[in-house]
Amino acid sequence: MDVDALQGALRMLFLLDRAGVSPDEGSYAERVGAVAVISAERKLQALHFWMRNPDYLAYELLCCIENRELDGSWLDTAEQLLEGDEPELHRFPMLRHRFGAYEPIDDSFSYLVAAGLALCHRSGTPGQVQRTDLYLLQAGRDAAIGIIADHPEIEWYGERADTVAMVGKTLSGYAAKNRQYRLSEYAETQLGERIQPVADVVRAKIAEMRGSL
Amino acid sequence: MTEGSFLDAVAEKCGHPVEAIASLLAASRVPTADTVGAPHRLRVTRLRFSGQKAGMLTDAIEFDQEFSDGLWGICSSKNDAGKTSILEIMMWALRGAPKRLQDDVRTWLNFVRLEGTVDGVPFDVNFQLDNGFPTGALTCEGDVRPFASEAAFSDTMSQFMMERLGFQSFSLWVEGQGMATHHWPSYSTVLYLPRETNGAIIGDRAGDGVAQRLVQLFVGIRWAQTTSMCQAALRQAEAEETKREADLQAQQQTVRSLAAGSLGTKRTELALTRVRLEALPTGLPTDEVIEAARADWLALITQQGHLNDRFRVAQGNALHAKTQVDRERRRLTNITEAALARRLFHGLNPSRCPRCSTDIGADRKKDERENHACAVCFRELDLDLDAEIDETPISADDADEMQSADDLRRLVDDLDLASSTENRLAEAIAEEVARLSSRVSSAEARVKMYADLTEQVGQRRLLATRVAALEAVVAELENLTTDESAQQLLPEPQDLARLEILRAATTEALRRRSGGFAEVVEAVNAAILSLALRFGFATLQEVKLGLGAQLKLVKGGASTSFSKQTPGEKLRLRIAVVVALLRVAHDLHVGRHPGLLLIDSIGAEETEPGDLGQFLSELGSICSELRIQIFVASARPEVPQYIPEGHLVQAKPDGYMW
Repeated sequence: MDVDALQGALRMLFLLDRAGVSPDEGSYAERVGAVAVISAERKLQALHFWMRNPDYLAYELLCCIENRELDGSWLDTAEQLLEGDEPELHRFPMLRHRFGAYEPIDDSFSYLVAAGLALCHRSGTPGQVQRTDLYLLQAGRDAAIGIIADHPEIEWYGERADTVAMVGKTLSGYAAKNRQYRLSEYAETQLGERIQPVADVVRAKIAEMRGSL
Repeated sequence: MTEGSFLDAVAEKCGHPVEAIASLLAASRVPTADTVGAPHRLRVTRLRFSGQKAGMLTDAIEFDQEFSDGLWGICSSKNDAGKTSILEIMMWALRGAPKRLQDDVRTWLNFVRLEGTVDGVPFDVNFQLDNGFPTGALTCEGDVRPFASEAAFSDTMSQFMMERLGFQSFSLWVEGQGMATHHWPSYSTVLYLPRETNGAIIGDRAGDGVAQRLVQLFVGIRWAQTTSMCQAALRQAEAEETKREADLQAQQQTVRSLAAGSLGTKRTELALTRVRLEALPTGLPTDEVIEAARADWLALITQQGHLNDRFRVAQGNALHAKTQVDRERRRLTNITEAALARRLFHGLNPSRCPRCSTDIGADRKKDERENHACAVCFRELDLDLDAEIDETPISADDADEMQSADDLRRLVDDLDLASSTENRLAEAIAEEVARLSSRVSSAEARVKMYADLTEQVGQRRLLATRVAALEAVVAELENLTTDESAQQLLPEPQDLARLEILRAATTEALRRRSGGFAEVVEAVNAAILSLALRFGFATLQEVKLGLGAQLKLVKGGASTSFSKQTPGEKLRLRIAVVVALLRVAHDLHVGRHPGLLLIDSIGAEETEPGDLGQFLSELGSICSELRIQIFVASARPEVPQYIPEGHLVQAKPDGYMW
């Protein structure tokens, strides 16, 4: 059983559901039945990184608060992301690739496609794919809602995806990566090595921000 | 007459051990056996001297005369003819040092030679003179002893005569001068009776004990040498003891006055120091309390160190357990979630190609159903055809997963329990750490508080020490200034022993000497009286020679003494004493007089020529009787007729002897 790919499929299902945007009227996506779209695979990669690394996600929340994109109440959310067993249990470190955190999403995404829950739309020519957009179908949204109803223990997928959506849904994939680079630990990670946790840095920053609020 | 050992007798008297007595007496050169010996005889057999007169007379000096036993006269008709010089030159050669030789005569001489015998053994003293200073030699039986200075000459003669005549040096304590040791020059005074007399009945010195010693020696009184040496040593020891006491008293007086001087100062200082000490705040911790606080703190921080070590270990254990449980719990979550996802995705028939997202058509689904070829990839499906069509919601794979998930869950529960235990342990130690930490803080605070008091505590210690020291000093000074503090002036034990031994030895020696004196004194007194009468001292009735060399007389029915006699009577008595000693010595075979007498200016004091004639005749017969040699020098014209034939040395035709 390919545990990583299966969990990845779950994460993408929820990311598409919570962070995807409704397709434009009359667009190709609408025509093929998509209910939510994440344009460009790179953006999905970036959002997926936050999904897997709650400490980086918390840091991003702090940045948004500093930039006044989010209000101060989100500090609690950031803190909860670091509290208890959260970082230990729901952290899935990634390898760093040329363009930042990257793991092929194809294996995970193929579960969604084969099951008729999502679609993958590529543009360009074979071997020269310019762009890959990801579509969630109605069956996928139904499945996301249904699985949480049946299995409340995985509700955190939805909550995490909501938070990721808060910090990332307005960003392009490229911009999201840039933000991730800001964390020195992340940038300093050698190519092909596991990205290091930054929970301590984030805790310090939270304390600092609480002090200044 | 037999006597016990002198040392034993002294030991019995003083109670000190014989060894100590022997050692002390040897150190003081006290003979512990009687040393009376047979008399030795000294003779002058020839005297030669030469030189050159200077001044008014410029004649060459040549004198050469041989002598034999008996009475010899050296006579001239006028005074200052050189008679005395002959006797003086003789004495110079015998003593090794001139006695009263006139300085001019001494510078005139360039050569002197005296030949003589001791107990018949010939000896020869000859010396050249350069400006009156001697260079020469003493020769006796091939023993040649050269000398080239006055001191060496004197020493050479002294050594020779002391050896040959059996004399020992003797010591006399002279008040105010200390111990004086006497050698041949003192003994030789018994040979010569110069013109000027000074009150001594023998020798030429009165009052310093020499005459007394000479009388005792020449009478031959037993134990005289021992007594004399004991007395000298005792008087020296007593003088030293007296000085020691005086020094000690002076020292004590000095100490008392110094103590009295500083007592006031020290009392004031003590009072001031007490005031300063009392001015310090009360309740200062003692050194012990401070030290205890420091020790307490040290013990606590040591304990803290150990506890911290324990805490780190417990913390490490807890972390390890937590890491383990987290890892396994994540595995469990992963497995559970993956299983959930699989069931979700597998519960759906594939509707699109996951690669190209193209719909899987009805034909493909039909083919999969009928030919068991995957509708997506056309590979043959691995199906159990005999099994019923899948109606159950859980596949075989799912069952395995559930089984392993259950195992994992139990493992997680176990690990969770272990982690909690480790955590509790670590927390318990952490509480201990916290408790100890507060104890350390308070102990540290106490030490710091004491440290702030260090200066005052140190000052109190300093002042307390100073007060104690001053109290001791004041007490000592008070003690020193009271009379009771005067130390007993007891002699040191060794000094006391020395005094006791010397006193006992002196007492014993005096006792023995008295016995010795009693043996001879009657004979000596009889001899003196008889000789004095023969010498023309007609009124003399009784003579008593004392051990102290005093001569008591009864003359014309009245008691008198030697010093009250006329010069002529004195001379007769002096000669009588010496001759009496010689006689007694001769009769009893004791005494040490060498039997040589030089008498200057005999008859100078005489008024009655008849008396002088009788005196000289008697001297002549005594010389024959006792086989002694006597030289008399005289300017009296009647003297030569009483000198035996051939024994007269007379002046040359010019009136001078040489």
